[in-house]
Amino acid sequence: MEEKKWKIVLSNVCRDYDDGGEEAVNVLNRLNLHIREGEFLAIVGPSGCGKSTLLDLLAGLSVPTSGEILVDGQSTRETSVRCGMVQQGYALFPWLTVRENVEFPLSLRDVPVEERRRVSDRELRKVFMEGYADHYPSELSGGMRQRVAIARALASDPSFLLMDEPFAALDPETRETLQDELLHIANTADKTIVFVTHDVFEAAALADRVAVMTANPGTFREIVDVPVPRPRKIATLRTLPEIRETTRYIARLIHRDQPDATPGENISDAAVI
Amino acid sequence: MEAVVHDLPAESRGIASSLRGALGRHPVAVRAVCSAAPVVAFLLFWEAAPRVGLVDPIIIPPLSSDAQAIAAMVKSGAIFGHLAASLGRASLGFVLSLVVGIALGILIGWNERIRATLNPLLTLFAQTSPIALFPFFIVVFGVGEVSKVGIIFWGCVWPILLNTISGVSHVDPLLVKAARTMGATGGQMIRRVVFPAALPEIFPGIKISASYAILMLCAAEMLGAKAGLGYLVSYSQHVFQNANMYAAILLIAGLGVLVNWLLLKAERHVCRYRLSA
Ligand SMILES: Nc1ncnc2c1ncn2[C@@H]1O[C@H](COP(=O)(O)OP(=O)(O)OP(=O)(O)O)[C@@H](O)[C@H]1O
Ligand SMILES: [Mg+2]
Repeated sequence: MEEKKWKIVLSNVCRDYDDGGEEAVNVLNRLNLHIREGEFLAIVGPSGCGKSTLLDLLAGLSVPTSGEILVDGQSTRETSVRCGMVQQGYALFPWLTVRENVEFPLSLRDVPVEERRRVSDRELRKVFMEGYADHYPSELSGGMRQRVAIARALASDPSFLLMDEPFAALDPETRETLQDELLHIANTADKTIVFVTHDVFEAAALADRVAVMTANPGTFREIVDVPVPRPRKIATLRTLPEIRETTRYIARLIHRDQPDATPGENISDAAVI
Repeated sequence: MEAVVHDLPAESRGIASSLRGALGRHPVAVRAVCSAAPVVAFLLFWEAAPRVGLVDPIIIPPLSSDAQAIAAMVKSGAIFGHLAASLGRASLGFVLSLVVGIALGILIGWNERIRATLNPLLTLFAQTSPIALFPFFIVVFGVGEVSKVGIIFWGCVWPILLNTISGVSHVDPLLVKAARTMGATGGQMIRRVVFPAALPEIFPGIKISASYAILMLCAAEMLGAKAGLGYLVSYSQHVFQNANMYAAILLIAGLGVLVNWLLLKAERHVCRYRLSA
């Protein structure tokens, strides 16, 4: 019963990859974490530390080599997880148009056609892709594909959202608009969001807590609380002292091995790792 | 291509498109003439060679008398029985192989263990010439329709089966993962993700099978039948109606070209998302 209030519980989660019978590589080692219902958790860490591997585990797409993950109190070994997911490679269906991609999760559930259409119109407008509804993914730029993947993840209005660097390929203005949109979603709806990014400011600005990871093997170095209440707006966050302080603290954690590289006044330079 | 055009100012866009139009139409026409020329030359040679005495017109009649033979058989209605018999056998065998090949291919390709176990056996079967197996079919199924459709099915099923297995095993795991997070059931995964993802690889197999269908059809009908284009070829040869024999051969060739063209159209339509890349 105790687990009920937790959306996600990780206990001693390990994940090994064994490549072709050789010595197994330990990618994630003994992760422990509780995520509240409705919480926004950001994950930062160097490339290759296992962030995408962790998201796969949370989505139930793979299971831990040892340890246990509970989503809504149920082990991911036994029940499948329904969630909205933006994968690092976008994973758009190349044979479907942009609109059909966004409507795909709804069509699996036999949502009526008019309702699907209404949702895809709305979600595509949110990511500024309404003019490309009838294009195929191969006709889009990387940033456009990323936005379609975001629209598709939001289309089924999931209560659990997993996003792997969803804004990485976007220009700064579009990114800021979508960050605001995500803040809006996090503020209003009771969604649990796990969000991977390399942008430390983005992590601090969006999340309630930031999990800072280290590599080889991947572990949580520290879980940092962001002491800023909601609702938030990106525009005001940039200059907010608490955010600047948190950003600097996280950046220092990541650059621990190079103490000289601690950021000076210019946060945005150091913010991207 | 379109995106580039959008970025250009209106006036240079006009120039660009008219330039492309002028360059575009011309090579198409040139290419059409170039690729038609060898065919036309061959047909002209066929017409001329017997007339000028290059070949014996009894053995190879000029093309026009073969065409007259077709016209005569159309007028008498004799050809339609043969056509119907051949089309019926070929399409039954082909459609059966399509259904079985794709269904079995997805089943085998989707399960890595089954695939690894069955691969050597399937390769062995696929490499065994169906013509060599024809006596076996006759022994088992007799000389009737079953062995004819059976041999067509056997010849057609392997390219479709092997291409489906390969296509299914090459499906991008990211797409499967994406559909799983959306709660796709097993059936939805197969129908909505695995099959469409594998289709570009399945289609070349279908095209090969279609040409095998006609090949096996002719072989089966020449080895024992009472109607059909293949039967018409061998029967006409037996009774020295050479014009009729060439007429049947022409019809078989025409059928092959037609089927190939239809499948090419279908492939373009089904895989259009790739062509626009
Ligand atoms: N399928 C796999 N087989 C073997 N090793 C893998 C596999 N997938 C990932 N790895 C290894 O696991 C480690 C973590 O990979 P992962 O993709 O989770 O990193 P990441 O933190 O998401 O990196 P990035 O920030 O670059 O996306 C890497 O060292 C990678 O080589
Ligand atoms: Mg990653």
